[in-house]
Amino acid sequence: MRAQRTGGNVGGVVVNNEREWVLRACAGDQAAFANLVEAYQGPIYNLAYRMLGSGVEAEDATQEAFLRAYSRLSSYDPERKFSSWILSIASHYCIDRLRRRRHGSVSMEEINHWRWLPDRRPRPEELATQSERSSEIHALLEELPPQYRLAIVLRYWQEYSYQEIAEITESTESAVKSRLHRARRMMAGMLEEQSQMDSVEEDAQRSESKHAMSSCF
Amino acid sequence: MQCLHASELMSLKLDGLLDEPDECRLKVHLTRCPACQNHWAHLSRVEALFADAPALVPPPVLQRNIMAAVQQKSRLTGIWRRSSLLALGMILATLALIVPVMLVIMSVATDPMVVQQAVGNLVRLTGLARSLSGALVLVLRALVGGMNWVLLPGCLALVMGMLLVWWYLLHMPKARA
Repeated sequence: MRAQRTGGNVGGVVVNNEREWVLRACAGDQAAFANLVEAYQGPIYNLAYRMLGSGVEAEDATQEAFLRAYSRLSSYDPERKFSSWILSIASHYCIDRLRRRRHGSVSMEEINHWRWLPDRRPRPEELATQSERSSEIHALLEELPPQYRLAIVLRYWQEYSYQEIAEITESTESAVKSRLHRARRMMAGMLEEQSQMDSVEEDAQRSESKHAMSSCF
Repeated sequence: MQCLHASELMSLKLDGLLDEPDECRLKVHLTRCPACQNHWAHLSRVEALFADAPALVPPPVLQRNIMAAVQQKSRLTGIWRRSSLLALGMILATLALIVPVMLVIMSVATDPMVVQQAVGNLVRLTGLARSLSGALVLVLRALVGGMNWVLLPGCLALVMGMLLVWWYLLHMPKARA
């Protein structure tokens, strides 16, 4: 198979032969679809993990996104970038799931049975060396509304432009700009609040230790 | 410059989309506004936090699981498509049987009661065929795993049932007479 530069670029990964694989997958070739899965599972898993905040849910979401893509291949417009199309499917699924989670209506079927069993595989959290930083990121993302979170994830982890984010989220560039701005403001506000609380705690500890010292003498 | 506008410009600056005149205006504002300096410091912290965040590696089994699910879905879609076609075929076959029978009865029978009875039976036959094909579709939908052999006895049972009803219909007018 001749390597062609007809591929897509997702999450900084250039995917060669994408067009050929998509055409073959549309014709029912599962091996070609397997190539697409191999190429795009990383970006989709990362998107789902950052959106949902759990490795197990991210796996479910990645699988569901590919299943939906497979059943909608006949409606795929070859003029559109495959990466944008599949990320759009994954984004919609994650946002739906977050909404249902907020309303407490995620069904048990959507949570794999092995979620409740001890998982021997290394967790994504363990794989990430900077676990503290990872939890800080997670805490910040958790507080954002789904659409803001999506814009941030696509901007930072998929390195998409405003135009591409607009295409994936089916919105406008100005809406993306506004969402990114508001999300950043919110997160900066949270960090500010956190640092204020930390400094108050530090002051309290300092005054406590001063008081203890003075009582000793 | 308002602080809110400065905050928008800061966001654009982080994305590398701020033009030179706006950048100069932002710098001037930052030198004068301690609140915005503080905000910029926190925004920069967020930026550093996210910029260094590692990409996660999906579990090795993920691709295998996805392809297994795709294959299962593909199989189920095939069963569904075949069973739908079969149901459609059954309905068409029933119609193909009913219409000539009805025409024959209407041309032969002169008694309006007989004709009425025959039409009633044909309606019942149509309902029976519809129910049988519906049941077949349900059975096929319930079967997971591509058991194609179910199609053959299902078809045979339907054909037998329809032949029996047809035989009854053909003999019914004589019995009544």
